[in-house]
Amino acid sequence: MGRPVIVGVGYTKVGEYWDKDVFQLAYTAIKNLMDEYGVDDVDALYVGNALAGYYDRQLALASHVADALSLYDTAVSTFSSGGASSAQAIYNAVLGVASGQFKSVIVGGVEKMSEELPAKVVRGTSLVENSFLVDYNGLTSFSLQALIAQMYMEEFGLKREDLSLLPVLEHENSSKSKHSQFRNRISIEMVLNAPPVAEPLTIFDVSAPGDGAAFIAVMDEDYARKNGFKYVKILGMGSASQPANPLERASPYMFEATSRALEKALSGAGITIEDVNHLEIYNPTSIAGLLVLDSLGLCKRGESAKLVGDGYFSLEGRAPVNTFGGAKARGDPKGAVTAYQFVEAFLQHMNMAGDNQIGDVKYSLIHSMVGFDISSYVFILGGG
Amino acid sequence: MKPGNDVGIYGYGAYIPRYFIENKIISSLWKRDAQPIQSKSFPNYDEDTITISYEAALRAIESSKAPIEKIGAIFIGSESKPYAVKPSGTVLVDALGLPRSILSADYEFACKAGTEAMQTVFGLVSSGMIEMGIAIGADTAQGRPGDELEYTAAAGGAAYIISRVDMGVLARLEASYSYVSDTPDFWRRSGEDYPRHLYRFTGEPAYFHHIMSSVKGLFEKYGYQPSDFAYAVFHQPNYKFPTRVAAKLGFTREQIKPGLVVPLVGNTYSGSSLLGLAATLDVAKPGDKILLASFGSGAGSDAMVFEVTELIEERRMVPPVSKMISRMSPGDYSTYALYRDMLKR
Amino acid sequence: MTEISDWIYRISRYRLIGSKCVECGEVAYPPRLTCYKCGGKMADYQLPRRGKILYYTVVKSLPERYNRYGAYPVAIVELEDGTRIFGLLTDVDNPEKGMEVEAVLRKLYTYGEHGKIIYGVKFRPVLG
Repeated sequence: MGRPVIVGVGYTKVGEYWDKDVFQLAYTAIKNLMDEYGVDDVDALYVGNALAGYYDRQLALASHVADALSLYDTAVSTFSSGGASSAQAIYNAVLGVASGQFKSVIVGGVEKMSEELPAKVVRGTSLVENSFLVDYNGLTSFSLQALIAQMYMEEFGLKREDLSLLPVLEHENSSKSKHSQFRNRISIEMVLNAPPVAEPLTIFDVSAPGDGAAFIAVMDEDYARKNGFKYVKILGMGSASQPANPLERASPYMFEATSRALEKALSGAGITIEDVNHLEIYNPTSIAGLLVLDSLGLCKRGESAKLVGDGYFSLEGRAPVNTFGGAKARGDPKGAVTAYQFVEAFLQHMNMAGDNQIGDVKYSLIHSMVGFDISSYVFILGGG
Repeated sequence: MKPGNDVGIYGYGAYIPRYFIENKIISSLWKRDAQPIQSKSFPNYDEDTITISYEAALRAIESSKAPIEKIGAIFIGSESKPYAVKPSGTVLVDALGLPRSILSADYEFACKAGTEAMQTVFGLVSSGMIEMGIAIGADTAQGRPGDELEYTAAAGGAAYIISRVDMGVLARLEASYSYVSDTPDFWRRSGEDYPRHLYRFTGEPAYFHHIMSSVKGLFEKYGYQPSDFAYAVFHQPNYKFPTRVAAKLGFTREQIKPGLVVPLVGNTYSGSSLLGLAATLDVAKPGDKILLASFGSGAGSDAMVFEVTELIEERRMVPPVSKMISRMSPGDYSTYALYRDMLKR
Repeated sequence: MTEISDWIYRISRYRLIGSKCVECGEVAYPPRLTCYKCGGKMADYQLPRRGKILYYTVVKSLPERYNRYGAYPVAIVELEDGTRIFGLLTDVDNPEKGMEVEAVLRKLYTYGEHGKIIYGVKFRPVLG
């Protein structure tokens, strides 16, 4: 049985690449990874991508990325589930290494959000939700989450400002990051006065479309050690699902898929949530961020905004979250976004995070989800 | 025409979209003085003849508590079918949960397609081929920007559930009379967005000749006179025509008043006279006789005589037409143009 | 969704037919194949047409197909039997919490200029 470790990362800055397509973006990230870390033996290439089928009419992306790189002696798989596309790719790459089938896998994701016009981006990013519920009904991911945000604020007596403490923190972190898309600091006043997307959410409460590619090399620990790689271990992972319709859940604002995935990941790693002192969570909206944090068991439900306000999740806090800005500020290239979270955790563990470096990172938690916590993925990284 | 077996109206329902635009807005846009009516309804962007027909039929079913499993026909009369080819009634069959063993077709005879649908259902029920049927007249009428019709072409409709008298009706059909001739005063060619008309030619040789002929024919054949009627409803393309034809035929202002919805609602084409009948039924008392005379360009008129029964009291539409009108809210020309898909993209 | 798959769901969408668990009685809309509570089989269930607005928001970031006529309101509606569903609002400029609404058939979107017109339920203020 293999023990999966991460030996290297390759990625582009998140932004708008008008003159590059998905293949050129993926090529750049993978080539950087292979050249910089000396990864040349690749058993498998797993690619996450959310929207190329909808935008570019290009399906079976992994096959074509492998072809673009002339990597023909590899097993390829494409994973397409919105913001969790590369989470699914990594989850399965880890299983491939753990099973002993693969010694070395390159896995990650690529997204070209700027290929399409706003109305198609809004629709495209909402297609991970149940289409009868959302797409057919003219709901969008954002408007659905805006309605749940109202319920959540009412239930726990949150002020409007509380909802947006996390985006402000994320922009603060992003302002120091070289690979992030939005490096401007924002204030609560700016969030509140920004144009609404769907009340109470404004454009600063939601992630914006970004282009980018990020890949990591996952190897068997013995193989990595023999070949002289430095690495970070993947100690545990878990995944679970819940009804897509928030109104069918025990509570519309309870992220049970996340908490179940977390339980599995922590027990796999043999640690508790208190041992984790770094988190990269996926939150395409401010409300989703608070619900993820609520479901971690660090505080009572409804109190995570207070923790954010208290600095618990700041770079110098007890458990820094989204240290390069997260989906909100680093950028949200859907199919690549979890791979960016892995890149960022790797940089933190390797002490390569520059101005965003947090001290003495012990265990990192990476969280990803399909839609509004329909299916969630949690990974625990540590050791080196 | 008299039915072989006694038939009548089991239930009725009407629908007018939420928006109205005032004539003065339209006339000020074109810098003209003409204001044939006060205001006209226009549909929301998500409404068409199918949804208006649905709303009217739903109201008829709910207000009369009709046993819908007995319905054997649904006909929609309209000159603004959402599809040139594809029936509208089939959507209603599945949307209202009507039996699928049913006759269904779209009727077109300019503004009299609604009464044409009623005549057909009366015939089918009277012959015993079906127990009950629904006849609807509905339109989202098209008025070419700048044309006279732009002031009046409106949206709305009404639905009538028709059954044998022994099933319990709120109004019994006593007699009817139809009159048509080849008189093209108004038309819309295939593929055209807006109808054309021949201005004053739509008056004497078309509207007046045909309504006078059908009503006089009815009176002569079956021995009626205006004083027999508590109320009369005429097709109402504007305010002037129905009031003048009423006077010419010897009806008083009071007789046509409850059914004259055109000043605020406009000309709902296939829905026009049916909507007027609905507003009249809202106030009619048992024993009242009502004359209904439609007009369709091209041209023709159906005249019908109803006698209201005591069941009217428990089957009146909820809410009444007057309340549906008072709930309407004003729209400006730009909203009207957007919702009517008049903006070029 | 395609012009064909939209047809598959029409009855449920036109008439607000959800599903009810034959084991535990839980109600769902859109209809489901299995119960999210107990995993039991679901049977068709006619939801009431009337309800009230619990929460609403206005969609200002517009998705393809729903971007022809500007921003529009959506809501969580509590139906008369207590079932809560997401739905589009229509014929209302200023929605309010607690506003009584009823489900009616409206046009939702079309497949371009030449394609099918898709109808379904929207909620509008109760008339009268």
